[in-house]
Amino acid sequence: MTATLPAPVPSSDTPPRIGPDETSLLRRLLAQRSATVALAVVVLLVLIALAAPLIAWAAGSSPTEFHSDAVDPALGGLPRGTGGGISTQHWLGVEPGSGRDILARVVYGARVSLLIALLATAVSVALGTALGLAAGFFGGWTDTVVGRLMDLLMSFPALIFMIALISAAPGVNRQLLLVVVLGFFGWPYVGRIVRGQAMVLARGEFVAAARVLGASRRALLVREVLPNLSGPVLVVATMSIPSYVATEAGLSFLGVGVRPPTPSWGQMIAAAVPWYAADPVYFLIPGGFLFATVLAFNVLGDAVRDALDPRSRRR
Amino acid sequence: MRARRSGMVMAAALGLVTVAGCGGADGGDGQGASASKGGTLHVLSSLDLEHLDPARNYVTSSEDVGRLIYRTLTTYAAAPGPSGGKIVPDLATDTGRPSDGARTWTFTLKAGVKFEDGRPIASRDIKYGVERSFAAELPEGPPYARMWLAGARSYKGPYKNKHGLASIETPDDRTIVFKLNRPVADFGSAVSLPIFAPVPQDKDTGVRYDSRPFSSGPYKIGDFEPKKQLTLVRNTHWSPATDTVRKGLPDKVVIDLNLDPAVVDQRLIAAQGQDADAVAFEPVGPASVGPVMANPAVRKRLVTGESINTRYLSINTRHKPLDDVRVRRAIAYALDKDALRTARGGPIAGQLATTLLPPSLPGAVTDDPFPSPGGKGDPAKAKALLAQAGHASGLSLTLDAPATAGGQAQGEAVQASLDKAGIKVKINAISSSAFYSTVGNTAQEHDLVIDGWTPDWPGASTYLPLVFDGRLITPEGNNNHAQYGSANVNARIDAIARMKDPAAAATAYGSLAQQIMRDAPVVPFLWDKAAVLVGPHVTGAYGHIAYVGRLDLVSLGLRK
Repeated sequence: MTATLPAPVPSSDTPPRIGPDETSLLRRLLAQRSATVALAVVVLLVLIALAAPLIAWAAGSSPTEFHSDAVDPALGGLPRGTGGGISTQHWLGVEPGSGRDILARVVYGARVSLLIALLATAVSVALGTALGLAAGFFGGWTDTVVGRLMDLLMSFPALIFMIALISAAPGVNRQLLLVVVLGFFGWPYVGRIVRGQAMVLARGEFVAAARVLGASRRALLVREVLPNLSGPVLVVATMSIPSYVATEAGLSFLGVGVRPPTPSWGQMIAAAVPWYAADPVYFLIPGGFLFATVLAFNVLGDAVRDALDPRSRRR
Repeated sequence: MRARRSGMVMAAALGLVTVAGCGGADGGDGQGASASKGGTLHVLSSLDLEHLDPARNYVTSSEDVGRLIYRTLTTYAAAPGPSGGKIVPDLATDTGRPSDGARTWTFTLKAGVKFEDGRPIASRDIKYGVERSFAAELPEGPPYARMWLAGARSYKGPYKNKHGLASIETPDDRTIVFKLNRPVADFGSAVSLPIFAPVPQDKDTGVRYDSRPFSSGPYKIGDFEPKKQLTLVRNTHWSPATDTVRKGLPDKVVIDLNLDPAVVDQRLIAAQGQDADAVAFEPVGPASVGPVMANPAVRKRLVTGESINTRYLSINTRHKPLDDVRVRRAIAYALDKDALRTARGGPIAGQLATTLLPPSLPGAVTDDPFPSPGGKGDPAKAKALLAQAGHASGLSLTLDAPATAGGQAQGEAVQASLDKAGIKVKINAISSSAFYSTVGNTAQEHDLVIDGWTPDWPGASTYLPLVFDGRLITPEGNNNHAQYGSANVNARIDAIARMKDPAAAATAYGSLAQQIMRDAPVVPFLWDKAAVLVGPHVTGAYGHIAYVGRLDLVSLGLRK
């Protein structure tokens, strides 16, 4: 991660900016075909999540409405028709037993997944940047304390702790709790990178120059070091979104994620497991969405890293 | 009471299948000539066995297994359908001889009945078994001995009071006399419960007896790995000549515990290898109904049983605003019973319940005080009632449901149907092993509970008085989850308990059920039936009414 160090010595009097230049980053991303596809998928998913009520309205359904006429009680609630009840009314079929519309549940589930993943990323990035920056820039006992805290959190069996914590807090808003818990266990991964980067930057010539010119410590931190961290932070953030999407789905699968009737992909997959033989489509749809989301974000994260740091490119 | 536990499992059953011709006469599927002694019967259970200690065995699943291991003074007939509810003599020569206006009950033991070590079963062993159920260390058993035996109130069990309980007399080795504190017309039925099984005092190991009960029936414990596997082997001292109920055909019965329900269904649909000699312990899950129905060969192996279980939604009448009968009636109108049944597997899971007593119970009046088209709920009527009660803007309630797939599906069905009437429901998922201890704790119980009840023997006497008598509400271990108390109902319960004519009592219970329903403390939604898969080599399979339609294990055999 030393890649974003200033390569040429700045010749002008503007502070050096080696972070992502938005236009050139996008151009470099679009130059990679896989990144273009991944970006398109991500944009599509975000649009789906934002437009969830609109899509459900267009499809004429809501994620919680039961359609008892769409399932056959005599067959244990198996959806009528083929492919898990795919029809003109229910474009992706219905849930066995209740007859709830899968399209509506999947798009609302996208909302939940992305919202939780993005907010958790925001929490972990904010915490990780602040603490990592302080540790790297100030060094000394601040570094020791923050460093040990990061070691502690990273060596913690986070998933088990999350399950225990979430089950032990019955009355709390689950979505909020998930954001806090995921963000809290995720920040050391951001913090480590930021700390290392900040350490190097703090010894950089432009920082020394600013210091000589009489800049306060606060100004050094905010105006000189922080802007130069945006590259690595962007990479870590993009890479952590898919892991939060997967963790949220995993927790919902285990029954400690969002509460019903709020739909969630993990919950849908868990509910589909006993039906895998009778109604495989019910399993494939939320599973496919989860797969596409995690894959797209991972590919995009890789591409962002490559675009910012040509030396780390695998090709 | 016991079948409360079954509230957590995905029951399914009869319906269609009955029409297809199972469910009916003796053993439906090839009992008789081809059934022979020997072999190893496998029972695939998705449940755990709660307790095998007869003093603590009070859930239907464990009672079904217990009947293989120990005998009681009387027991249920081994027969399908309502005839299985008949009480027949087991260790005793008859179903009891009442005297002193049914305040004294005398039983005589059969000659030649023996324990697994060959010693004869004496009346003092039965007395000791009943006495154990008073011990504080062994709390889970039924309440009848404590409720009915004279002088029981001050008795603390054999570990504390060495002199024994004076109201159980054993004048000789084969006679046992129970002195009761009130007339009890159906005491002969009560002694079919496992607390009336013999326990030799020198074999009593206290709480450890649970994993190694001493056998008086056709099988004894071979090996028991709690939560995993129970292996029963033949008790060579059990004599079929003394036992008209148990067949004792297989040499060995292996019960696998805590299996995944979907795995049990898949194994029995495939029926490969030793699974051909296996039966499911629990009814097929909703997800397996489709594949079973689609395959005629498998469909033939689906055995159906009736039950006397009623599933209902309990409404906590002590919580505001549920203390208002109009709000409770609104919930009764709004509930989509059909969606709840579909969540449990559809029509084969049973018949939509309209009132408290299932039609299989004597005295039941099956009217519908809160009708809705197709049992799918009437949100308009519910809204009107809520508006009358001053809740036009809606309500917010919390539902206690077991944290199982079935529990969640039912919870969501309740949520969706009450939502239409403007009642927002939050689901509080409780681990299934802690479910009844949590909702039985009046401080921890929320507004609504997914609930149910099976009487201890066919009749309302172990149902309505236990569930709806407001004087029996206890802070812990409470069964009256509606926390319903009505002076009129309590008075009727006392009056009916004093009736000597069982038929008149049954009719009176029928009208008492109607009276309770007008207050809507619970909303009944399903009278269970069970459809259980059996392997192709299994004979004598039928669902038993006393075990919520589970197979009567004592009649099963293997075809050679």
